[in-house]
Amino acid sequence: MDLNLFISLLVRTISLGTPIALVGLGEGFSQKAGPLNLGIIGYLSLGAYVSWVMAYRLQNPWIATIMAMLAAGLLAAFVAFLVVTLNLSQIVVGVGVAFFAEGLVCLLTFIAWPNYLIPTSFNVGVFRTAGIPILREIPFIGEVLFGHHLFVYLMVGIAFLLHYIVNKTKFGLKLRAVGESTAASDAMGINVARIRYIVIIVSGMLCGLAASYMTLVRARAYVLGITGGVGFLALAAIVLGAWKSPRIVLAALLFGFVRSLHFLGQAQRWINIPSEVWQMLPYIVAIIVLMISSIRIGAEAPPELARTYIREDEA
Amino acid sequence: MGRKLLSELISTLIIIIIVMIAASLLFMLAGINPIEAIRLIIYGALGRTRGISESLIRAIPITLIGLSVTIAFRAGLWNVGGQGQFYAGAIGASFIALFFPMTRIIHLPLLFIAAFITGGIYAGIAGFLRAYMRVNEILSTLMLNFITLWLTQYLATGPWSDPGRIIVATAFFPDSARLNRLHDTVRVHQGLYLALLCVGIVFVILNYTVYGQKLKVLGANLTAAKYAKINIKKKIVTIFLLSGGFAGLAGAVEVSGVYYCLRNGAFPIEAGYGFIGIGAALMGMLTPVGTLISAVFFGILIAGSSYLKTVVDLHGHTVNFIIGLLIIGMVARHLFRPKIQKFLDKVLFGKKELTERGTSSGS
Amino acid sequence: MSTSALAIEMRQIRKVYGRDVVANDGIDFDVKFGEVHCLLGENGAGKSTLMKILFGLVQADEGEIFINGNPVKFLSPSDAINGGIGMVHQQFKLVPSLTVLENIALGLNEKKLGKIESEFGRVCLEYDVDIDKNKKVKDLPAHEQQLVEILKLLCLGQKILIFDEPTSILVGEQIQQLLKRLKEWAKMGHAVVFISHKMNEVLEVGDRISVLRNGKKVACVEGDGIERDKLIELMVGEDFKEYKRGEEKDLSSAEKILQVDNLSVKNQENKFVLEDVSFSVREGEIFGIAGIQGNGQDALVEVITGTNPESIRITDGKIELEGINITGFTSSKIESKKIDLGYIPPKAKDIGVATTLSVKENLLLRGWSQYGNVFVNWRKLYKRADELIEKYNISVPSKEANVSTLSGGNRIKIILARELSRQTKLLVIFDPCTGLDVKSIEFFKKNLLELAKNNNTAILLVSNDLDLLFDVCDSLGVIFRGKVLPYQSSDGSFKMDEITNMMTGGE
Repeated sequence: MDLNLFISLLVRTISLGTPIALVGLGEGFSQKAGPLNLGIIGYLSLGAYVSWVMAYRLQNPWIATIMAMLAAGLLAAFVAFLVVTLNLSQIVVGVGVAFFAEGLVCLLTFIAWPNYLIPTSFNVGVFRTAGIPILREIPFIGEVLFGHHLFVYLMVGIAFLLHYIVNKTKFGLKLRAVGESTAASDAMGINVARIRYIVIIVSGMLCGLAASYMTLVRARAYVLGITGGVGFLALAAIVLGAWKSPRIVLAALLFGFVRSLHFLGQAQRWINIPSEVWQMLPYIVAIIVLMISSIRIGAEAPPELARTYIREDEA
Repeated sequence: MGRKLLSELISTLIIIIIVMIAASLLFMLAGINPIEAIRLIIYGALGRTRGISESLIRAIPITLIGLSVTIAFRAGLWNVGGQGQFYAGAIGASFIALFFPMTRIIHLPLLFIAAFITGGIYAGIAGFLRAYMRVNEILSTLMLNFITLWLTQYLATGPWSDPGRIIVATAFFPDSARLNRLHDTVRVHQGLYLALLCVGIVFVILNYTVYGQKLKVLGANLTAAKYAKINIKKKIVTIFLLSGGFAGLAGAVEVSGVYYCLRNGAFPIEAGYGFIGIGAALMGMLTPVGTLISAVFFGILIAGSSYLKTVVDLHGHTVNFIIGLLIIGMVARHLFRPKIQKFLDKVLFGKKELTERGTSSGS
Repeated sequence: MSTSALAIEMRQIRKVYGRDVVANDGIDFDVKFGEVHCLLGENGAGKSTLMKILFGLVQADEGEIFINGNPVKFLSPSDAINGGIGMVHQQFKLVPSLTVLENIALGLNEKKLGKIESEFGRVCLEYDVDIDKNKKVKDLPAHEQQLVEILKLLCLGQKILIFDEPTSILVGEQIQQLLKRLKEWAKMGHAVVFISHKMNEVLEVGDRISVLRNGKKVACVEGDGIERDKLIELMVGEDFKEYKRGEEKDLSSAEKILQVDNLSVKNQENKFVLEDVSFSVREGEIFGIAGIQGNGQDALVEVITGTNPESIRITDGKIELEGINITGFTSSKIESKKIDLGYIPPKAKDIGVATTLSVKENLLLRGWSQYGNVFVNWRKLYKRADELIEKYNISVPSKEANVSTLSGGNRIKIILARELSRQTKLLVIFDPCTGLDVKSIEFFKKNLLELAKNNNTAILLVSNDLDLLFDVCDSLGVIFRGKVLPYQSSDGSFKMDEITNMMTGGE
């Protein structure tokens, strides 16, 4: 394999891994405090739509990204209302919201562009990737690591920020306590609902950011279902990353790598493996990863994951 | 007991009305007259014999997957892999249909048994991982969904494809592997009987067998299940096998009753039956009969909006937002159902409540 | 804060659960700074509900609450905490995998962890307690966890301290030490509420004693000069007979039903939770094992009944039931050998029933083969259910009703009815009486004794409730740090002090 191909494989690994990492970071943050958001699939669809429609209307990808984060955060806040305030099952609401958002985005896309005549990147203010000046000129390392869009480096920053918040701050201590034992935390006077609202909304906003990255940076295009698969792989990345931010990023990059193998398979005709096998490979890897993780770190999942908390009210 | 059922029905109706109002508002946003849209949906789904047939065609696999979900969820096992098991069943059925031609009376049953087994074993993977390796079944079933999706595409475009056909698909099944249509003029097929039979089977399992009782105990409380002398691991695996089996049947019904072949990629269906099955089961309160009723309702909704598409060119998945809202609404219903029951007690059953009070007081 | 104001004043508190369970019926209750005020009552008298209302965990239907003379309305525990109230719950509200200091930090508003550390040191000094702040809470023994719970409140500067049955997890010397501390804290100016149903403790520590019965307050008396009998009468309302064990039985020739030989069990961390345990239970014998929580009794009961988690495993020894080796069997495997044992688990109302299922379905639990192998014989079960409901006086709206709608006491009755009526050769019982009222306990004891006498059932009773054990057991063992020692008393009768001594490790 020649060097250029190898470089582009690694570049793809990072650019495909970044959205998985962003979603995994937010959702991992949320799971650490208990809430499981299957609705991330919905947040992503909505984020992708909003980023594209805003970038088209406003011709400004930055504002479009912020709008996408707000929209996904708003949907997440609705979910938080359902699962925290109304105590509905997180799994059922997650499935419901995924459905709802998918249908809604179909309708909204229809409203924005009747007959689904979606504008291409010529008419939309997408991001132009520049990378980091000077550094990107370094042979190999610069090409692999420093030619990316700012969002990639932002993702790394977010990973460390979340890691710091969870492990070094009072808020993080509370968050871990809530994920470990909600009843105890509640009795200690920790505002469980507030913490869960915050983490769910953060999870939503990072989905918005991930979706914006996918449309405005990576694909520079928008089609319905563009975010498919990313949410599911992010869920697996969290388990592989043992709910620790830096490890989640590495796990996401692993999935990015497996996904980019598809490209390698196409580029290298000599690898005679059908395209479908490349397509399903990330999910096979995910299952193997889940198996390995469960042997190695099975006990590390937050004990209150996916549980609704209802204050005991019994004579 | 009648009061509870009545309050369930009323609260379900309220949810449906609220969702329809929300849907109407969104349709208005899209510049579609909601009354016209609803009229078209109803006409498309129920207006003619053909409409009813189209609704039922969709209700059949949704019912079967709904039963699959009912079994798993009742046991507290979150099998959200109905979609993957559906494809697994379709693959298993196609394998028998295409490569083992024989007389109809053996071929069709064998095809369904194969689908039940492939769907079951496919779900059984998740069950095994959950029981013996503590792998979260939500994650594993979600991942497994994708694998059979791509496997189906691979088979239909590659090794099993029939180059003589215009669309990318396998060859048509022989007649011996096709479910007959109920009438020449409509597409609805004998799979309807299979779905009804399965509703009956699941009803009996859940209500009249020791297995069903143990399944429910497992769903209620894992510690209690261990206390209740239930072999938890074995039970988890068998429940997944059973659950996946019904989802597999849904796949078989689609290939042998509707398409007569295994087709390229996703089936040309308006939405993933696998997930809609979850909605139907939840809306049906995780009971077999309730699931059947909800499946018919979703069938109407999907067939109707499919007809709507011929007038307004909306993407097929648009109807999902109604389904999503209904799923959320169905769980939210528990918040106000007791209040409705209380209200009914007061208005309709005032006397009855008093006598019950007499016996329930104490402690 | 003026010194004359009452720390707590609750007026005419009323709370009804569900349709008609009146937990609190117009209760008045007040506490002064500098006193220990005891709240005495049977299980189910309404003590816990009253305190949950005070702490914002439950909202009262009617009534007013004043703290330091100011009217308050607590909608959540955090409101109550801000109002200066600290509560030590029966089940600790600690996060097990965090350290002592982290748990303390969680309760405080202070954000800087360094400041919290120094504050913690100061409080430990002031209140004269010694604890390793860097240890994880899950590694501490129960009485130290309780201390962490209390320190949390003291660091927060709470002046009002509520203790909900704090001695239920303690034994012997530990109880005395806690009671002594309570009195000291009251002297230091705290208002202390002590909730209990144990007469001796209340008499020892209480400056004032309020007695609740059936959701009503029946008296508030000065602690000095009140007589024990008078208090009992106030608490129970009518005189009831304490059921005592009958004559000595000669069991030496009876068949051994359960035989445990040199049993050793290790946990996940490869530490012994049971070490070289041997004992047997004979036909018609009630064998009691006394012990403080956390000395291996969970593991003992779990491996006998086959309900142990996978993390604990038998490394040595043998368990025989009715002559069949069941070592390491799961509950389902024991059943497959066609032998049966009755089991009343700890926290029975949570584990022993599946709350989302109906009463009839719960009566089926564990007795599967009695009602069919493939199909359930509902008719037979219905008939049986009627008999049991009648015999054990369980009050249920109907056999179809969800168990979640029943009170804790009725849930336990369902379990008792099911397990006692199955007439197995062996019955294993673990801490049965938590959550039962006095009358139910007496009823339970009576049934137990009858079962041993009339059906020759072998009964293994594991508990930390010495009163119960003394009343019904034929012989006793003590479990301490994974070892079971037989108890032979000096003169043939059970002696409280000797047993407590063994339970805490002194020989």
